[in-house]
Amino acid sequence: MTPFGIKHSSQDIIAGAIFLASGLAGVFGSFSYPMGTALQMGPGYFPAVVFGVLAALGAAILLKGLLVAGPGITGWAWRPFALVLGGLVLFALVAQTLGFILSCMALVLVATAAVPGLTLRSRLVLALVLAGFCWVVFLLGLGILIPTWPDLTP
Amino acid sequence: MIDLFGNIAMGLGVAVQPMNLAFCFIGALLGTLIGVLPGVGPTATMALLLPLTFGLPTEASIIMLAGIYYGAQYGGSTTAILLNLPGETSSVVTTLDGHQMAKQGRAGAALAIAAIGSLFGGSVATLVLAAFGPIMTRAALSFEAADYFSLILFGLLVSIVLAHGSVLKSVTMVAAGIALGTIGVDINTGQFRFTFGLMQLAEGINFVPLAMGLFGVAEILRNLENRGADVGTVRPLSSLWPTRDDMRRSWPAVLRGTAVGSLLGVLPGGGATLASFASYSLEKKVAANPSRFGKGAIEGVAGPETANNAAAQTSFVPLLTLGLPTNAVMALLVGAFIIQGVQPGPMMLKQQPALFWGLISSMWIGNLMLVIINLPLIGLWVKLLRVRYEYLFPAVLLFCAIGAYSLNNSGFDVLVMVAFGAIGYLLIKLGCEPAPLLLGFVLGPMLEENLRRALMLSRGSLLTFVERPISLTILIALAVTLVMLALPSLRRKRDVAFAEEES
Amino acid sequence: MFRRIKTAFAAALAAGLTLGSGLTLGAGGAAAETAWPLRNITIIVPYSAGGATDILARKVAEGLTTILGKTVIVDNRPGAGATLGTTLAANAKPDGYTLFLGQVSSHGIAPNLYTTLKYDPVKSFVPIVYLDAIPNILVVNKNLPVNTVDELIAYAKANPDKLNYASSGIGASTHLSGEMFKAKTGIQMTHIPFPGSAQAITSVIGGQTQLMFDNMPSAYQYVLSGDLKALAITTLQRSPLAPNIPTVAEAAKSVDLSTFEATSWFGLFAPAGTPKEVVARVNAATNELLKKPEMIKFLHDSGAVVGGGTPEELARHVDAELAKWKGVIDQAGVPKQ
Repeated sequence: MTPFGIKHSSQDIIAGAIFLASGLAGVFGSFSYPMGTALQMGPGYFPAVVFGVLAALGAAILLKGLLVAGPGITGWAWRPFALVLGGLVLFALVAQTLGFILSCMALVLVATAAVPGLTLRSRLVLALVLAGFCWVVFLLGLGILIPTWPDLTP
Repeated sequence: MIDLFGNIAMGLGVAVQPMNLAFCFIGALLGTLIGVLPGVGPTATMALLLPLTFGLPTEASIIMLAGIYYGAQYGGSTTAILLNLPGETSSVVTTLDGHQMAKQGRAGAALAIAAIGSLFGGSVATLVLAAFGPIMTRAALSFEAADYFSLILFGLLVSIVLAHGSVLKSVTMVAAGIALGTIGVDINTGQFRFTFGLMQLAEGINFVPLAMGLFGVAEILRNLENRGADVGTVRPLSSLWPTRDDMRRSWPAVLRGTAVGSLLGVLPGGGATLASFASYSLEKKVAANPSRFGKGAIEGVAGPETANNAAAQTSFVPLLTLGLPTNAVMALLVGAFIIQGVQPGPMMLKQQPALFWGLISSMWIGNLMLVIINLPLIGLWVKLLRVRYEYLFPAVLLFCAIGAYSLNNSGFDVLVMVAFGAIGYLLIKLGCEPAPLLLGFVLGPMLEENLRRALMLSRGSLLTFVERPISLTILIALAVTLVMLALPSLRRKRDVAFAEEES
Repeated sequence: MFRRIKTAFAAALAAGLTLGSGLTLGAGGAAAETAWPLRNITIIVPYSAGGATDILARKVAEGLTTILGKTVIVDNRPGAGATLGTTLAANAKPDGYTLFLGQVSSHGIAPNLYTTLKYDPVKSFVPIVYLDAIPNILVVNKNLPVNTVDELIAYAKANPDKLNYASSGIGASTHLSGEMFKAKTGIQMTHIPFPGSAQAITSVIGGQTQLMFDNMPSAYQYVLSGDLKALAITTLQRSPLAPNIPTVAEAAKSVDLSTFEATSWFGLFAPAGTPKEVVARVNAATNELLKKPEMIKFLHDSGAVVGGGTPEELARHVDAELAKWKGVIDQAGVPKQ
């Protein structure tokens, strides 16, 4: 059942390992700042303690994961993960250059690719409708400063 | 006391003038409509609607802003319940049971109880404010760094109760949150910490993209993974209104929430932040069956929402009596006062009694309007949930992206949101809950700041934490709570051990 | 935060619902004399809406709108202690339609604190006009047994390491004023930084700390109400708002503090390369604005000393400020990033 033939929880093992690693990295990073003493704390003191506690807790979770049976990791949805987050990154990168309408549409088009049931046509319509609605609310109504269209003047 | 009623009567005289009533209504309505956009929390709503009031007469403009504030806050609770999107710290706990209720088709009941609880808490807190405002301010001023440190430590400790899963993991999440909170400039020395040369991180990670990522984006990813026959996150409605049983469960929670919120809201060092967390913890602690929490317990919505609104009222106390803003929203109000040519401060009550009492009275009227506006809207919000998820989720994503972008007019905050969306999804997969992390993130910097400030003021003596009566009292309460928490968890461990032996 | 609301929307709302409210919006069609300005002008403010800098910018924008005949918009770009908005303004197109509200932080203190700044306070901007200066006011807790600057110095020397002074943060003028005071008087005080002025002044009122150099308009309220005692203000001239409070230079008899000056000053700038004619037009318009009685009243109410003058005068002021704060920061040993 398990590689070692004993009970374990891959959920806890991975969680513990991540917290242990980030805790240790944080402690290491904290030491690049002045430490001071417990009563005259420098900027590195508090983070070093907090990350140290985090690492210790991570180690405890890891240990528990190795010894006690528990749930594993299931059903990571790579496709929505990549497309939804990718759409947001795209929006962040192009909003200022491509302008509001095109960036909004790009986000919606990419993100809706995560859902199998939608036709390209309905996705385009959705993108257009949402971009238009948000333009009215956010640009016309609330006056946030993103250009509507790309700046074509040299 | 007679004075008090005379003053309230004078205030009502100002507040019920048709024009002021109209602005109060417009404010609450606009606040609700903007605040309900995912990604636009109360602070953003206020900042964005602030210039709208510049041309108005003084009383009308302040009354309208107060209306916007209540509206935005309730709008934020609405998105927390419907979409699992907290717009600010205090609605984080509303997501815990509120969104679960929505998933069970009880969004209407959750929204209604939030509105009713808010009205009750707000009304009582307004009276408290009118009666004891100046006294409360003096009491709040006696809170020093050591006392805040103990209070925040206490808040972090009880936050373990927030999670309904493993205690070990929820403690870890609090620690992770505090660790994230250390990013940015160290306020005691000016040293940049963990900013990796990015000026955008100098003031730390912004709460809004962090919360939208951990809650909103991660939730969307989770929903998209199980695309079965059941489309949409939320089951069809059982009833729009709270049942008799809901009401029976809620009213004690509302009463307790009012007390907790009114008291904590006054503290200038961010006590209001603690109010909804404290109320949730209290409800879970006194509940006959705490395991219902996190699975749609209505007390978990009623208590915190009431406390939140009560604290929103009493957080006006330091502003009105001393001109001291307790949070970002109050700071915006200070700006509004100054633009109107009124310097908020200890002189305001003497110089502008009509404005002072008018504002207090309009707070109550604003709360009433909130209920009048929102009870009919509940039906509409709930209908929105019936939109096919394929169409709903891109809209929510888009709102979040624009909301994050507009914080500093840069894509950086959108990228922060993406990062925490990924982390949030990973945490779901690892069985870790994000709410304690968010609490640690908000309270962590305050913990460090007050710890170091207390030690600087005491010239390095740790005795300061037990020499000050307020601090000592809180620390004793903390120790007692710790013991109380430890006992049931020991029992549970035994239960787990038994369960494993059986299996 | 969202940057602005359509002013027209605000106007419509105000006009529709209030009788005779006096919004001045320069849509009045005064024909422009030259080609500039053809469209709306933006003033970048590196702080969020509602703060002191923003309020000043909005008053200036309102006034310039009337004089120039085109709407002047305030664009709030907060973040990273004003450096984000300042960098943005430095890199804006120098076409005369972007102005910048510079202040003691962007053009006095920040360049001495941060080594990683992506703008140069002198080379990235052209100065236009000096707007005003708000004094800091030296306030002490009402129970502290001192009533003058000399008594404070004597008290500090008699009770070494007992006094704490509050500030609104490392590198803020409230902090550096305190450091300057320590350096020039040789007294011992512990600096207690807070995240923002409101929390800092709260601690002085409550008695957790004993004194602070706070910005005048907010702190003065507590002097009037008797919650705080004012010892001096940090400009070289007395403030029109409180002419009875002496300057630090006047108040200190036991020590020579005749050059003690620390103000929150403001000036209009434009990105380097902005046409000279535009700079001249904005300078003239702003000088005209600063002579208007309602503008003077607004500035006086906030305790400010009114500015004005030529672009060259602002340039010299920036040079002097940069040099002054460099000295204070070096002496106080504030770490640079």
